[in-house]
Amino acid sequence: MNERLDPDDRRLASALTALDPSADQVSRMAGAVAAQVARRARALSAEWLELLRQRPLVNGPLALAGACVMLATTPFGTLLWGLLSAGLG
Amino acid sequence: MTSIDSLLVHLFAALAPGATAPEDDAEVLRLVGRARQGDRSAGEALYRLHVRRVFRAVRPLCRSEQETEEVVQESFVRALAGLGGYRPRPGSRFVSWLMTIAANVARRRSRWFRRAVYDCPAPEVSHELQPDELLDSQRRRAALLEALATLAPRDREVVSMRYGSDLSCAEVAEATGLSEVNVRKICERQRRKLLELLEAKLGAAETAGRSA
Repeated sequence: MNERLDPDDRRLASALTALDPSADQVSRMAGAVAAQVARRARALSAEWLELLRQRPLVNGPLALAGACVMLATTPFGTLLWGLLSAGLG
Repeated sequence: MTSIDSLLVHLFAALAPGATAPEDDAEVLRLVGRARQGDRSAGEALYRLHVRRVFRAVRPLCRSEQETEEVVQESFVRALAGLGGYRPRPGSRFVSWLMTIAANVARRRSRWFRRAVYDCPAPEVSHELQPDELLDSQRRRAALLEALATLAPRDREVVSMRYGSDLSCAEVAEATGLSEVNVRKICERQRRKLLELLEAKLGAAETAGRSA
């Protein structure tokens, strides 16, 4: 802190050190942060593939349903449908 | 989990939880620069330098130790992933940017759960302390949280940031959106009240002496 602290400021700042995390908490959080940062860094497609690889029976239908919803509710689906219709016609 | 994940988890978990080096702003900025370029060890060093400050300031804003851990984790993940958006400014340190993120995460959670009850700390067995010290530390922790819980949420946030995270009044003002004058007033008003509450719970000697 760059400001001049009076004795009460110092006492309170010092008292708040009682809230410091334990060593176990620090390492536990470190592990979780590292895992989440790594997960964010991975491509979304890799996440999907990993999910499918881990539990294909559960996640396969879910992925399919997700894809159907995306196709039905976004302009991308309409465009794809239009292209397919034009191609077939 | 990929090998990169395992490596990161291992590296982070291996961080020495003991003493942290004194913060050097130039060093922090160097670490931020390296972390932006993908240097994992720089990210770990930033975590190691700031985790205690963030935890200390976030704890009074959360209901439990578990929730505090979650908020701290989410804050660091957001900060490390968003380092590209960090712009150092004069008078505003990296820790105040980090605390702004942490306070936003804590606030969002608090709105989400719509509660106002703050529990006493769940005692966690620490391997660093002797049984007497552990009991004493838990007592001080509980007394402090009870005293902080008597403050209005906004005042608690200001006090936690100012004294827990060691931010200046200007930095707290920036992180909370309040004016600096307002932050000063809140600190002046609440610090006396908190110290009196702590003295009533723990005794004057203990509040002043042991915590120092």
